[in-house]
Amino acid sequence: MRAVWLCALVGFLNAAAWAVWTPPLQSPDEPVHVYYVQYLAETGKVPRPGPVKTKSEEEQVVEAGVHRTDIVGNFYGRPLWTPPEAQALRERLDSGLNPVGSGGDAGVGSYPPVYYAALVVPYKVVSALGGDPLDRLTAMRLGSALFAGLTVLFVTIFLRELLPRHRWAWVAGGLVCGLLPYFAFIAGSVNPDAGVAAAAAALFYFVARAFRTGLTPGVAAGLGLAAAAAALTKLSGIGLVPAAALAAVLLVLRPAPLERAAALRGMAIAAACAAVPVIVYLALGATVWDRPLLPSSGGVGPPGAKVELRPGQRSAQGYLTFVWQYGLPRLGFMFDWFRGWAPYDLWLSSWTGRFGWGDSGFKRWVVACAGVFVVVLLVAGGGALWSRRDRLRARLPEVLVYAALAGGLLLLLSWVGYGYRTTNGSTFEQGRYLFPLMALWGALVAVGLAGFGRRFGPVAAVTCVLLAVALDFGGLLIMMGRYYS
Amino acid sequence: MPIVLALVLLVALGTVLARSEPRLNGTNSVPLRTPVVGLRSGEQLCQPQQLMTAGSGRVRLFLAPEQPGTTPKTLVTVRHERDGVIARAPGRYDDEGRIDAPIDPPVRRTRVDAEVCVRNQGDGPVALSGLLTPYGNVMLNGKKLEISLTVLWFPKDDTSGLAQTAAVIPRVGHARIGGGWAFWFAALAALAAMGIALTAAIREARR
Repeated sequence: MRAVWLCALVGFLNAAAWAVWTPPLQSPDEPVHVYYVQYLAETGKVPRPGPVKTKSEEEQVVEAGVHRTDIVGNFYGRPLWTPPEAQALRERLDSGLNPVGSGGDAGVGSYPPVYYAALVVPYKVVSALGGDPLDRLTAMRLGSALFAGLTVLFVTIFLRELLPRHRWAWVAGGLVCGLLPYFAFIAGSVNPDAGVAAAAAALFYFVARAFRTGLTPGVAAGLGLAAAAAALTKLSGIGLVPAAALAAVLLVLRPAPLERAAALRGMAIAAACAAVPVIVYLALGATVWDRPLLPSSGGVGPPGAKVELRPGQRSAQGYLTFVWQYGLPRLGFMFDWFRGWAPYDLWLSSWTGRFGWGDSGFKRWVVACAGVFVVVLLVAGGGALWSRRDRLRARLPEVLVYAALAGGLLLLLSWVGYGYRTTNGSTFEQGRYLFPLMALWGALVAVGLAGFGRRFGPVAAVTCVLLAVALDFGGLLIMMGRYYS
Repeated sequence: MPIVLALVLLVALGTVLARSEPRLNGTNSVPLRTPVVGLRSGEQLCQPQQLMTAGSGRVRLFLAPEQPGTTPKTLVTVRHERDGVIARAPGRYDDEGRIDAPIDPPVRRTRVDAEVCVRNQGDGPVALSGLLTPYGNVMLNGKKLEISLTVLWFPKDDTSGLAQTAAVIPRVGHARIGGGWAFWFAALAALAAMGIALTAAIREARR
């Protein structure tokens, strides 16, 4: 268990480093997430769909004072570097600015509150200690870094369930996840992707555990609560819920080692644990907060004016070709939805490392090396699974649930992304939207390393962690060059 | 294999950190979007309220001759109300559309309200680059223009990545109007994470 906690500590410390290293508000959408936490902390209410004008006077002064818009996408833009600039902003912030926003949408008006509610704690603590808005931001980021630690913890124990006899492999899998610079960067900022990653990792763990022990009351409660937490942390978490239900059904159909009655009781516990928080949320939304359950436009901002589409692009066929290109190469007859090949140019490229508001990252050759690394792991892991295909066949229901978890998330993302693309004309998808699948990334690493066998596997594991350290360090150097040099 | 890889990575890191190159000492963070103003022969424009950072030994603006193939001749003046004229020197033009003017001796004290002026001393007109913005405050012939020019400040000499760390440490703190603890906290946390990860991986491999 000590190794598990060490992995979690690595995840937290790494995200904490990125939390302090990243200049204020230089993370995707951070201003609106800060607005959400601040509004919730100051009023006890959540933002709701409505007027777009939203942020508090205080946050607007911070945003202008730290040069947020001057820096985004501007190679020559830098944060505050000098004492006189910092002093000028401090004096402005000391002038009694209003910390309460207007409660409007800002793109988060329909977002569920669990992640934001958790960050109210550091916000309030630092406020009580007399901290300024930037101290509060740092505290919120460090609170968010805890979700990174939690994610890595659940990923590691998930991997331990998958590969209990390959200790070095599951430990390395957990460590590699904890060292992923892109994850540390996002989790070290105010962003609900950190929260949904933790909830989803917990869900993966409880699914794996349930297929070992059956739906015991504890595991069933964990499964239900993790599913509810995912759905109430970020809307994309809803995509994971059908697979959680599928897991419960499969475990009732094949209840061993439990009796069917015990499995049914477990399913009822899981359903109750999933339903009660959601019902409470719905009731609060309908009565206290007066807000709808789901956004009307995907919750991703106002639609653009005119988007030129080719005939048939907005159709069932168009959507299918869109989904296809999430993971497979575009075929000749398909519409061209993404720049390049999405698995490489969109997903892998950002998971390797994309920082700031997407305006800095690793060079192409590093992404290419990461691609080679993934292929090696796929081949090694595929070989290991093929040689153990009899045992794998016995675990097909479990594998099916993991595929359904990934499929549910991707289908939901693609539905929103397709709507966004055909309405706004730009790409909605970002690598961070796949953080709920961090457990599968860890599984790829751990199973791939296990594929090297007991003789070479441990050496490969150390090599793998060393490469992850190098990638993380490289990411920090990129941040240093981009913002402080 | 991990030892060889570690050595390779350390050598690569050492090479990166030892490399000397021009590094920013300050910027007004104005995006370099487009040529924004033309300056005829003999004209001078000035941009007030500029951040001028201590230690700067060179100021850079972006400029191009309106007639290709000619080399612009400019005189750059940096001044401050209290400090007087800090530098007045010809701008050295390069083919990438930049003019660099030396500041000798380098700036002693950071100011947030310095003024940077450019006089066109050549025969033909030149165009300076920056951003079109209603918040601009460039003065030309007594008129305020709705533009901002991109102005960058550099140390006198190129610096290595390692030497640059001394400049980076306080900047990480200033960015969040906090103290120098920020850099050290982040560095210690990152090094601890990496150290723990490597130690744990090696220990598991040896079991």
